[in-house]
Amino acid sequence: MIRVKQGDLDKLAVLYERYSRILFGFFFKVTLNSQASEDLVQTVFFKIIKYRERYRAEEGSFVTWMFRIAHNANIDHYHSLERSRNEVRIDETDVRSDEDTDDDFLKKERSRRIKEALGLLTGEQREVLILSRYQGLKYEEIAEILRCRVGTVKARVFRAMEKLRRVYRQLEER
Amino acid sequence: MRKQKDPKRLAEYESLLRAVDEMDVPEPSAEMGRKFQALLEEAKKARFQEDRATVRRPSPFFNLRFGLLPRLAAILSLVIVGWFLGYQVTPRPERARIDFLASEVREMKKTVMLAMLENSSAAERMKAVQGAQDLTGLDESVLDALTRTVNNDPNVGVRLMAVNALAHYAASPKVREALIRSIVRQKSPLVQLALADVMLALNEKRAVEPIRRIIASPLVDYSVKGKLEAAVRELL
Repeated sequence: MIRVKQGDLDKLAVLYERYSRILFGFFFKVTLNSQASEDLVQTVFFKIIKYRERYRAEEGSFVTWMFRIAHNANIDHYHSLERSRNEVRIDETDVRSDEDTDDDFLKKERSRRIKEALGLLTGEQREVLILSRYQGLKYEEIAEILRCRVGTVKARVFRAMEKLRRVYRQLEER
Repeated sequence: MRKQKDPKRLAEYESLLRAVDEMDVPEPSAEMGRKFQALLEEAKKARFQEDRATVRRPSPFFNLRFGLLPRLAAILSLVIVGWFLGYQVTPRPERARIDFLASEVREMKKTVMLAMLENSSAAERMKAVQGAQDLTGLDESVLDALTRTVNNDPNVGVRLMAVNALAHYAASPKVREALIRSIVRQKSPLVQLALADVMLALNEKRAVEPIRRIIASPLVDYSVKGKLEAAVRELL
């Protein structure tokens, strides 16, 4: 990133290669929509280029800085959804095919249910939960990304976990 | 946080988080990569143009669009054009009014000067003669007043100043005539010598006769007589 900051934009391709899938996975689990996730990855890299001069290696890791941009992109995304009064659209991709074994089917069913349960959480709850499972980010780093205190991060993660457990159980009992 | 200590619940959390980790995430489309490449190319192009602009940018002083010099030149041109237009646009009656006011001031100065020549104080009369010299374009009444002063003023100093004042207008035949006529009227040797000097400077041969009449006078001072004779010789 330091090379990118110095103007060597070709090095951005290296960063893209390394982090685009990670970002896409993060956005997908938060938005549950692949098209929106692709757009958000694009937004993050656009902002990395635009604000490259503001990156300070001494203030934190590149990953923390990148996820802070991702967090802001997420907020903008949800605001635009609110403005257009659209709800989170969950991709319906987990359909059983003829070749699937029972194990495969159960796995797909579990994936579909967890996705549905995540969809019932708020965007903020999904985001903090996914961040806590990503890139080995520590609570201190998540607090830096979300611009809040570590205690707040822990409380949010706990509340999100509780809600996920509750709605997942409800979906299982349905 | 008590709930976190419940092993069953903790296991439930673990299971859910594993499910979140293992959740199927689709592959991003090839379009995402293409869009990034386009974004990168655009950024590189913008940076290239930025670099080129930085290299080519001349000193801001000479920059044709935003430089200080072109701005100063533009301001100066506007001032000149503005002044020229203002001068042209000023209505003629306005200019006539200004000319009228100037002549009024001149008249006032002349009146004051003429009044001062009648003043009992020699110093005031000297100031009046000095003021007459400062007036531009002397008219008849001022020249007559100065001539009267040369011939009649009781103070030698005032008369000498008046001779010098009139000498400035000796190009006028009337003034020259008046100065020649004044020679025989002078009793003061200083004024006589001053007039003789003016005549020499003007090379006025008509002054020879009046000067000879002074030389012939029994009352003339011996040293003045010698200088006047020298003046006559030079004039002849």
